[in-house]
Amino acid sequence: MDEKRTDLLRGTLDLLVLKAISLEPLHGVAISRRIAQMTKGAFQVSFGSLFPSLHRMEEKGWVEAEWRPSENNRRAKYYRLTSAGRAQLKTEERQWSEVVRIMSVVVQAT
Amino acid sequence: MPRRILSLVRNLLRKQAVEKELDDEISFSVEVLTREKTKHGLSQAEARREALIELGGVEQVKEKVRVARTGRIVEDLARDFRFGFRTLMKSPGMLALTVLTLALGLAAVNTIFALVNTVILRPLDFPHSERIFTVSLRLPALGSGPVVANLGEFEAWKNSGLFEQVAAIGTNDLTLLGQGRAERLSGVSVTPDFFGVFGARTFLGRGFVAGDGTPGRDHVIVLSYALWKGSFGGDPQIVGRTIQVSGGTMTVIGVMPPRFDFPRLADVRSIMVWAPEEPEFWTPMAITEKGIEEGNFNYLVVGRLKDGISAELAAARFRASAVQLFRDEETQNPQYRNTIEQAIESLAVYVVPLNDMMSWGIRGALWILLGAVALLLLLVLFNLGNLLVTRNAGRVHEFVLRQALGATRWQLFRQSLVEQLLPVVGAALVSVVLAEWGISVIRTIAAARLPRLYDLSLDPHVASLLVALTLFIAVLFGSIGLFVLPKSASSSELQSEGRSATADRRTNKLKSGLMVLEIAGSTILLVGAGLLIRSFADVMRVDPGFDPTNVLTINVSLSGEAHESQAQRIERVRGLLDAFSSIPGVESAAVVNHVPLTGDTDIHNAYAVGAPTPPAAASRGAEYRIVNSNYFATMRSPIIAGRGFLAGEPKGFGIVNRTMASLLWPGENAVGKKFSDGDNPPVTVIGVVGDIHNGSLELEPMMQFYLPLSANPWAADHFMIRTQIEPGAILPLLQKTVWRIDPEATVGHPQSMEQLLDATTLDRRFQTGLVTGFAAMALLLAMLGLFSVTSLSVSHRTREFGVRLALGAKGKDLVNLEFSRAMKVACIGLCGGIISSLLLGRTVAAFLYGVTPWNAAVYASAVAALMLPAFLAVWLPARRAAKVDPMAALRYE
Repeated sequence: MDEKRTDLLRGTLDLLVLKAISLEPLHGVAISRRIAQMTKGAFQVSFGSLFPSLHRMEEKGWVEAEWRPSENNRRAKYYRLTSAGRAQLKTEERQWSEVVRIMSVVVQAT
Repeated sequence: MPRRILSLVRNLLRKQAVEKELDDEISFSVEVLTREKTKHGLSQAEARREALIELGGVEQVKEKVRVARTGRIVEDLARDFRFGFRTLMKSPGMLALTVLTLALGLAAVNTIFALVNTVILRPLDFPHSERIFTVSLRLPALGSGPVVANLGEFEAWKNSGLFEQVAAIGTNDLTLLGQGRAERLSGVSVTPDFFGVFGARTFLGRGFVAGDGTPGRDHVIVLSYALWKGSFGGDPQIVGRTIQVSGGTMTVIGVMPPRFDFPRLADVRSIMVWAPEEPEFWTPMAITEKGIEEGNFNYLVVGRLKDGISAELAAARFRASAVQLFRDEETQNPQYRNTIEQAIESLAVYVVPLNDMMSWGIRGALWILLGAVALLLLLVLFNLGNLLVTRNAGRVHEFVLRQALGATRWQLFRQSLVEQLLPVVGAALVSVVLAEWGISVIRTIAAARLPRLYDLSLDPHVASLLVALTLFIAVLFGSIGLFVLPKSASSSELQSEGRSATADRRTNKLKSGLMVLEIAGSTILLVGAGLLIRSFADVMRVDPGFDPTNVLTINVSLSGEAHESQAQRIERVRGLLDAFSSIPGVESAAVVNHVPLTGDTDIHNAYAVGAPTPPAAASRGAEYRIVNSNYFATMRSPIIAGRGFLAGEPKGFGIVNRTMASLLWPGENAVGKKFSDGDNPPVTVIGVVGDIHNGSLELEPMMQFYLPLSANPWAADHFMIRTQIEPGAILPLLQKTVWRIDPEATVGHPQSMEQLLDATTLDRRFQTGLVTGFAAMALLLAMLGLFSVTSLSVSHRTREFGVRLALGAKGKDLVNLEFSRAMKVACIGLCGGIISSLLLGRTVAAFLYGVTPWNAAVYASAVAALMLPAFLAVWLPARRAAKVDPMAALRYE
């Protein structure tokens, strides 16, 4: 993603991430793949945007970390949606639908 | 909230662990990416390279995460600050008042504590200063306070072996001559061990050694730094030079460093009121037989006790030596046996650390001052707390709303924290400025009267402690409103009234409790102020015994005093008096040996001659005065019996004061009686005059007797000039007149009697003004508190009032309801304050004059002073309860 569209899309990124982990907890790379899958390849989230976003949401309390053991004796950080996060997701979905509705009217008017 | 705090704590403190986690996470991600790419057919090394590229670089990604984390914290803080600031600015008046009163309270406590610290608590600037003690006596004949010793006692104590070094200090005046000037210097003469007692080193040259002061080695002098700089231009070759003084030459052997100035009057005033204001020189003194014989109680004894010797042990031993000396005198003069035995019985010897002696008279006053100021700060803090609790209680609705919009309790807490801290920080800064100003004020006005003030400075520990305390209170009270909030919003909360009943009850109790304490504190201060004001008024009503308006006094030392005969001396004194009287603007001139109200005095024994058995009071000392014939006329002290002196009154006749007449000859006419001072022929009383106060107006005047010039004309060197115009204007004329008659005379110590009178009441005026100021501030704070609490309470209960009004209640009833609620709190506070004042009565009694601590009129005035403004403070906002529009109130949510 281009840097100059970061501001506009940070909110949408949060929405995408929350949606991506709404079914099950995922780790960072998996989240990126899931988003690409959900948008049918339209959005390829850069890791330089994804990881800061994940940590930010972790601080806000919308996601929480779950460490699972991986192969090679490493541990992997999985992100799980919290109840606050779930509420946030609903809010953002609602707001997004509002925006789309209003903007469609504007764009379609002559 | 716990999760938030946990993450914050993790960020700040466990940075290493956090870094490790980030590292693990990124490494794992690289691995996953690498595995993906190998599945697409790349080799391990190529896959890894591609993975790193897709990641965007390990360090770069980590850095972006780190920036995002800190960036958020700063962003949050900035937002909190802006929001908090905006909220505060909504009520700028309240904010300004809070900050100002807080700053004043903090500054006051800091300043007064600095004073207490410097004067009482801090050790002196000398090595091992806790081993330096002063030794003083209490003798009934010389009044009830501790006094200095005579040389006989000093010798005995020196020989006791309990001291490492000990010195006797007496005053000494010199006139510096040469280079066409005559400069009057005041200093002290000391025994050679003096500088050793303090461990003081000279700045130039040397101090005294054993043997200095004996004949042949007594014309040496050590200068003070100020004198050396001022009168000798800081001459670096001063050591060894001879200087011209009245009575010969002296060799300068040393100069002391700038900070050494013992004994300063302000430091030793409690036992040596004739000490120089700032000693300008030290001369050596040797103990001679003659000196011991004279037995004058003129010498301050300061010494360094040996390690292991306690003050009590020393005091007991020294008392025994003093008693022994008395007994020796008894053997020599058996006729005074009774008197001496009485003296021995009431003899007490005090061995007091030098530090304590310096603060003797004022320690109590200072502690009380500190107590008053601390009480005031407490009130300010209560007000602050009250304000915060009430304000936040009214904002619960706002908080609940914000929670519904997504704010967590932690965020609300953090933001309101800023709101509480900002005013405190502002107040702390302002208070530092105020405190520094306060300290410079104290230093200017009180440096001459309070000891050790050149050291005065703020104590940073105490200042920080106070600020921390204030912060704690602010946070505590500000957060109380938040603790009742639920963890997260729910719509039912929003639709309700927005206030839970429990929160209401709790905050109300707290508010009332704080208010009661505030009012009680104000009452105590008001009663204290009232008592002090009464005392002050009573002191001002005391008749000093003479009329001080337009009276000037100067001291004149004529040249060649040692060589003139008595007749010559009387002639010269009369000449001066005539010359003064003929100056235009001068009403009359007189002369005396000690000026009233200065505390200068000479005390002799006085016994009634021919009394059947000497009454117990016969051994009391009497103040000894030499005056010329129109002294009493000049001073406007009426003669109440007999007559005054005539010009040329011969020896053998004297005038006594009322106290002496009633003590020595109770119930009889003193005129015609005879008294004796033990050594001289008896004196016949020719007149009785009123009591002229020698020192403070608050002390009972002692016995005083006046002898004519012929008794001792050299002693009379203080001239009292009553002028018809402002006395200051006459001074240059007086000086010229003196120098016309005797060009080598010195004219010194010009003082206006009115100023002297003011000076004696300075302490009391300072005290009274201060406590009254505190009381006023406390009252203001209490009233502000009452006002704000009542008005806030009214505005919170508008809905309730609306309901009541709609149900038919009268506006007046609502007002009465609010009013009586608030007044009940005030009355409880008042009663508490009165009871505490009654209990504290005994502590305060020492500071009062002419009034008991339980004076009913004072208490009544204090109650009125509190209740009248309280009525207003409660009634004004309560009135608004009646003005509520029921419809609007019911709709308000």
